[in-house]
Amino acid sequence: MKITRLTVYQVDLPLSQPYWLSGGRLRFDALDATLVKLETDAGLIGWGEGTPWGHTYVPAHGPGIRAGLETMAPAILGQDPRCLDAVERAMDVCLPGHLYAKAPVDLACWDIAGQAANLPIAAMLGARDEEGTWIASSVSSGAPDYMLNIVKSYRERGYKVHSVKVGGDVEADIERIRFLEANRLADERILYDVNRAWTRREAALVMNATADLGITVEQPCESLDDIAALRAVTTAPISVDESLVTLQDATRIARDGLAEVFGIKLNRVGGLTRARRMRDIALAHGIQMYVMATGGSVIADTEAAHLSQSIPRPFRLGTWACQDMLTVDIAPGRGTRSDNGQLTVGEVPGLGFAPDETLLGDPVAIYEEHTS
Amino acid sequence: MKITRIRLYKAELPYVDGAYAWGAGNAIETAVASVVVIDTDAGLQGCGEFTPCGENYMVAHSEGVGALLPLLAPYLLGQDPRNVAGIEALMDHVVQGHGYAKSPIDAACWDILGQSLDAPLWQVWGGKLTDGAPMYRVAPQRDEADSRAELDRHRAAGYRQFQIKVGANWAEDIERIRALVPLLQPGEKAMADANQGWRADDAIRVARATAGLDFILEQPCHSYDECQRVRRVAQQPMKLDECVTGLDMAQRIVVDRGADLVCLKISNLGGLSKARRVRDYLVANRMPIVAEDTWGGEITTATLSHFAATTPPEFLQNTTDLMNYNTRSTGKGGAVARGGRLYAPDAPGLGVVPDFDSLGDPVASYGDAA
Repeated sequence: MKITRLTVYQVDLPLSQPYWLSGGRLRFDALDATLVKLETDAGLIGWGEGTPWGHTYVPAHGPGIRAGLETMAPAILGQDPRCLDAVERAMDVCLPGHLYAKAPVDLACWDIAGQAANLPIAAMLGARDEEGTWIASSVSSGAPDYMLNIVKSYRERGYKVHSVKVGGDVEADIERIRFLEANRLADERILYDVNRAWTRREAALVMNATADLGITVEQPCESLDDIAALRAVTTAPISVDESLVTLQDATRIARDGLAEVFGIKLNRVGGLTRARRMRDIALAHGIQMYVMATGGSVIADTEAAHLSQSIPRPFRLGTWACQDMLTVDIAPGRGTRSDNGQLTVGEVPGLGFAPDETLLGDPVAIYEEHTS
Repeated sequence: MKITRIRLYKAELPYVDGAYAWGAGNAIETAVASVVVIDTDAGLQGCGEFTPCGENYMVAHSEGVGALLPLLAPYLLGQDPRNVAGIEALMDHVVQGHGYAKSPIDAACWDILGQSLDAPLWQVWGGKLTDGAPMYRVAPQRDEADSRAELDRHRAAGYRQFQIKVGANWAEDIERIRALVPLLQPGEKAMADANQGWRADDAIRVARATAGLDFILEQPCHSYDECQRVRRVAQQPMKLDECVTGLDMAQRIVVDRGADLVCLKISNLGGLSKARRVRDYLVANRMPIVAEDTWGGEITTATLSHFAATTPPEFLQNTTDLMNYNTRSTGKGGAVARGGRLYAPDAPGLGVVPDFDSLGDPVASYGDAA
């Protein structure tokens, strides 16, 4: 089987509420989604999505995905999409780095490989657990009351896992954490997500002041070196998110015992082929996982859900669904949908569905193999 | 002063000698240059260039500049380009990473700052410490008599440093090194550059087999960690290049004593501003550097020449006249290669202007000339 055509769509996914990063200097009203459609000489078609969280969150931006596809397309065409490692290697030889641009291609290949094997992607990854994965809420930072009200609104909708954004003033963060922990239900789990905002000193102050609570802190500082330094002076369990990019990062974290949780984002790590290796490193070291696409449509949510459903329950901390934050749905009625705070995937082979192409507009690029 | 317009030009630069081979079986015949031209309301115009050595040499490809500009341009228009550090911070805030694509914008701002001060960049940066940076030539691979003759021609032209291209086949590479190094005269230097092409075990074999020969072993393997496995047993001085992507790696090298020379490719480091910081840190730790870039024409080379000229001579190993590797130009004026050395221009700013006749029409334009 050969990839004969690569079609690229660009879709703006408007957010129901604008998102501010870094003190409001940059505001996002929409996510810039790139959808890749791969067609094969066997008639099978695969879809993959690449949607960065704006362009300031990590080194990944929408035009960069399309630029990467322009450079890589000649190396992708003609590949057998079922040979996922060979496709990965072809892309790596053609364009070093730029993992985020490779993710949608990798994901579309998994879609085709699953269809060819007559298995859903989760089963291709080793297991498709029927029991869904908890979706984490997203609780923006503010006054403790304000944050608790957001937690409560999610609680009413069945959510058990909360991602609470902290990372401002040290005293205010300690107060937020103490208040929310005092109001946390016994069966709820809260990840305090710092998104790299603390310095080493600030992180140590907050984590030591709340050490009695046993909270888990996500990405407290900028780099793995920062986290390693923090590890020596704090006891709180740590989740590594933005600093987990490559398999080398994963093995370093596991070997040096830098974290108890891997935050695996498919867009950042370059798709399922690479994410699966990280999953196996995590399992081999008893590390939990918190899996998501990064952002995007129901396609992105479903791609991440396939990986989540392949993870044994004790190591599956949660996932995140972006679909509820969007005002546009490019696959109405299709894909995994948030159900009482959980996501799961069905038995349909591959990804399990395709977007409604009439909602994608005209392709921004089409690459075809030249027959001569 | 405000930025009023940002234009992007792209040009294919053919290699002067057919195909340029590097590393593990890679070769390029043309490189794609991205030239950014910034106009201001003061009438000053600055330029910068990013040209990769093929799309797959580093984490940097020629489509990257065109992809980045639509995101950055709305924030850059209206900014004062003389506020170079502010522009750097702004670019890093709007889009993370992708330093290679930001590097031509950074250079164009330094160009405008220099012009506004009526001073060449080397003066803005603190003065010319090296007047005429030494360059190297690729070593001949012919029979002994022909190689000697070619080396003599290079010597007559002023060259004292020679690069041996290796990295494709380690067993043949041993013979190449053994053939060339004995032909060198006292004071001359050879560098065997594998461009990340060897596996660590093969690189160790090469280092052992050539143990008595005096040459510099350059970036034998892909990653820093692999290179350190080789360094553990190699007697030769080691130069690191492709894996040096920023200040973090420079710090590791200093702390680990992980190299004896460090090649700084300006675009690989994210532009002049960041490369200067890395260089100053390395020089402060008495680590010699090579002033380089991935590839490029007159604009890249002019930029490079100021970087080289402001490096203390005792810590500058060499630099490259990249503009002489291409048959199509990106700029007019700029650095001059003479007697085996590269001289930075004395005209204000970078001292080079875009060669609009060669570059053709812009592929993208943001803002108005006004």
